[in-house]
Amino acid sequence: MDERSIHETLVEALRRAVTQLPADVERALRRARERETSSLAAAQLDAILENVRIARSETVPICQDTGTPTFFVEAGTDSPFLGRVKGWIERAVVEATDAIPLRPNTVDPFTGANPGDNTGRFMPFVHWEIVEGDEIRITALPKGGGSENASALKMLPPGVGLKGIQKAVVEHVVSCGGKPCPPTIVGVGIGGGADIALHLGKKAILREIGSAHPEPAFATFERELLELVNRTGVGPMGVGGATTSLAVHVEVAHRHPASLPLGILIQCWADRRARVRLAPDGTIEVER
Amino acid sequence: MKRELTLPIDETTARELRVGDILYLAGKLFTARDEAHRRMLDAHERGVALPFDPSEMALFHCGPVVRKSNGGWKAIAAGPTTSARMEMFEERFLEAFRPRIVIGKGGMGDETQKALERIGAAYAQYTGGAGALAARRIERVEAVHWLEELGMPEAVWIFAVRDFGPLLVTMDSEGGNLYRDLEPTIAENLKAILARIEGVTNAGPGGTRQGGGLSMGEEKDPTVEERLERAKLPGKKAPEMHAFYRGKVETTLKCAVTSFDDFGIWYTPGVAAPCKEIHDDPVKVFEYTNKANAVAVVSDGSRVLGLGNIGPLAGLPVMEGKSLLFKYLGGVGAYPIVLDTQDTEEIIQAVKWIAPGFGGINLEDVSNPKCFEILDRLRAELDIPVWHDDQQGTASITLAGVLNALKLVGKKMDEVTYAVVGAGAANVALVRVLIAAGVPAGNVVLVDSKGILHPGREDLEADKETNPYKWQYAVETNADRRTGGTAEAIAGADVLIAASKPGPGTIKKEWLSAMNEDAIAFIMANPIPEIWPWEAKEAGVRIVGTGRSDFPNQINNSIGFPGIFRGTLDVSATTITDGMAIAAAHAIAQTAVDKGLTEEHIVPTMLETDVFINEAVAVGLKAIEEGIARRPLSEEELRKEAETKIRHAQAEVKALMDAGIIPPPPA
Repeated sequence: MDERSIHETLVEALRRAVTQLPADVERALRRARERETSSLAAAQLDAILENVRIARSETVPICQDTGTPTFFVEAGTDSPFLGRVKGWIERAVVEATDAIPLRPNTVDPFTGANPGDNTGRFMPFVHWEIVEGDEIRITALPKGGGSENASALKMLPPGVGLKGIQKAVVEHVVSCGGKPCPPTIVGVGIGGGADIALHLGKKAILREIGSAHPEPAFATFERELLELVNRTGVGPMGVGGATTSLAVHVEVAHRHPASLPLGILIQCWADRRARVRLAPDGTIEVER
Repeated sequence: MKRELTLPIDETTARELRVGDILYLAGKLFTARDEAHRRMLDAHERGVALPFDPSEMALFHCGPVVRKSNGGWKAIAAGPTTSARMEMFEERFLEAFRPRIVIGKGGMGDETQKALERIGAAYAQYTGGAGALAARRIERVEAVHWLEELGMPEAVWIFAVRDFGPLLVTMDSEGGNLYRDLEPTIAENLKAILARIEGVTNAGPGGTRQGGGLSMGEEKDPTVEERLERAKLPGKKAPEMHAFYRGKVETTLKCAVTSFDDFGIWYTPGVAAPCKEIHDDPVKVFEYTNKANAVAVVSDGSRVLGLGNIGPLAGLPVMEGKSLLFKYLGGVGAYPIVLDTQDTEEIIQAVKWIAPGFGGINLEDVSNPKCFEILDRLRAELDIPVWHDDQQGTASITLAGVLNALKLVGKKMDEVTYAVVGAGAANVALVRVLIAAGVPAGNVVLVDSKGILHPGREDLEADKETNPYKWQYAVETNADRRTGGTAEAIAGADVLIAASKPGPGTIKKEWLSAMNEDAIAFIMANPIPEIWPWEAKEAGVRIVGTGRSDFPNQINNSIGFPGIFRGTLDVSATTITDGMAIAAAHAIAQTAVDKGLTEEHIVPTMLETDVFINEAVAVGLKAIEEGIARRPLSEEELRKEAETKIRHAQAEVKALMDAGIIPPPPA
């Protein structure tokens, strides 16, 4: 096991995440540009695509807001590295902040102080999921504050049903206007409890754009909801236009009989993410 | 318009910037986010000088990624941050530091908009997230302030930029605001979407606009049975809905009540002071009371909708509904007043008695022909505008529909022929207004229950004392001296305007088939049109309008009177002339043109708030031009007044609904 290579690969994963927009997202943006008829909206999409190109060719961050350092870790119970992953991630974040660079985005809520290296209480944050096997998969989601501010939790009365969920999502997208940098990806977490719905919503964002949900009923629901969201006319950057969202992704948990929690997570068009896989022998690779 | 600007710019240049302009800037920007705003304002308020001069630069809402390079700094990524967060500071900030351009994303609120107008500055949006692109146009990082205390994102960075753009101006110093302009369209789209989710298929005109390339799979054409069933829906729901709320309007307060002491200001003893002032100078009543924005909706119930003489009690739901539309669509405070008399003199007297409390009178559903005399007499004897919506209101919206329908079929207003079926108050006024607007009288054929109007009609000649208008038209219209009934009037006409007996079946399909090519038919009887619109289409009519909101092209005076009264009241006009009604018609027509004219959307719907604002402006300007305005305002002031009052009225209902004070309707 080469700890140095693990460290370098993690930094490289963060670099890719913030400088190279995933192909599925760029594809969706291009499609949006092709069908856009409003010239103001088309100009916004042109600037976005040009920006994506520059960031990739010059290896500089796509957006100055390189996000809250957040990671999703699927930890195989038989991996020998369970106790060390957290430390590796922290080190990689500190290194990446200086090397890429990332914007130091961790601020003490009480004093306003910014340590300057993207660490702090609970930061970087890791969502743990224990899975079977001997591998560890780490997904980085450097999500910006503007779109995170557009998150919402609605504890709906179960009586409103699926229609109530659709209405709440569309109304929420309209209320956000141009603030979360549309065209967005809308993560919709349904069920569980308040925290679970929000968590599912964020997990939903991680899915590749264009991939249908494996559950056919959810896939149909997603498709319909996307069509409805794009009928609002909010458009790229809120200047009006045909594409308000590139995708709607849904994750569903069974709910309490008395509750219908709805977590709405909005991801800006700069849907940056990277995944690495760490094998039990210490070999590590960036998956995208 | 594309503009290349070198900073600093002066106020005059900043005031020339308009929504839609694309800017490329050279010169200096300073970044400031939440903390920098707070800190700069704090320094300003304590009289402490800043280490840089913000008035020379553009303000950039940005928290960049920068890196140390050759002893200085280099910008790596520097796109805009969400400007809405700075709304809490921006008005004070702009007043204090006077930057002429604010750069950010997502737009800002009303306070910032006001400050931009006051100091002369514009807000421009840079594409959110385009941090790498922006950084390329930053030539140098000139300085950084408060880096230690605030950290990289919140510090004030001074950037020297070149070709910094494209920046899209979205808020300007003239009150232009791209986001606000979009709101009505998006709100309308949202309503249609919500209705679609509920499974209502006929929501809104032709679905949403700007829906983009995604096809939703349009619904199948409904069968006639389904259409009939759908047409009955509002009538089925109405009794329960009315009973649920026990009425539709009530009075609410417009002043603050903050403590017990306020009662002594709003009522005795304080109220005596304004009373005395008005007594000394009656004009002050407009200043001290709600009179200027209060309209009485007066009816004797003698001709309610298509229901006939159902009297004052049964007419009350209509008057309440009218008041609702006045308020919600026009921001006009309207009061339903029904009179227990159907005598012309008594009605005139009653209106005169209550007139002091109102800024305008709307006569509603008063039967023909006494409505003409009542209107004319009250106009002569009162110094506030008196309006009979069935006359000028219907005429105005119908004229708008005619203007746009003719545009679509490529015919000229003064070259086509008009069959006008029904000679009630609405159509008699319509013919007068059509002629005033440029239609040759001879091109109009008017028909009443006894047949086409022509000089040979002895009944009309005999009746010319009580109904002079009909006789006048018998003589002036119908140059070909046609005779016969409705079928003969319609044959060969280009435009049919029917406001006669409720259908279906009042007008027959085969009559419409005999119209000219590219025929236009407005079949406006309420509650059911003279012929079903789909039957008219089957008969070959190209553009069909009805009086109902559940079919396309609602030719309904609800599109007119709220905006017309808004403009009239805002300039304190003494009356409402045909010229003002025609100005409103052109504003209505233009609004639909601006949004994209289609055969299913020749006039705006009631959801398109901007139509009322445009009408108010046009009507106000016309009143000023005609010299009957007591309060001349500029076009810009008129627009602002109308916009504010209408938006407030709608926001008020929304706030009450959100707070649960107006409960949601029964499912």
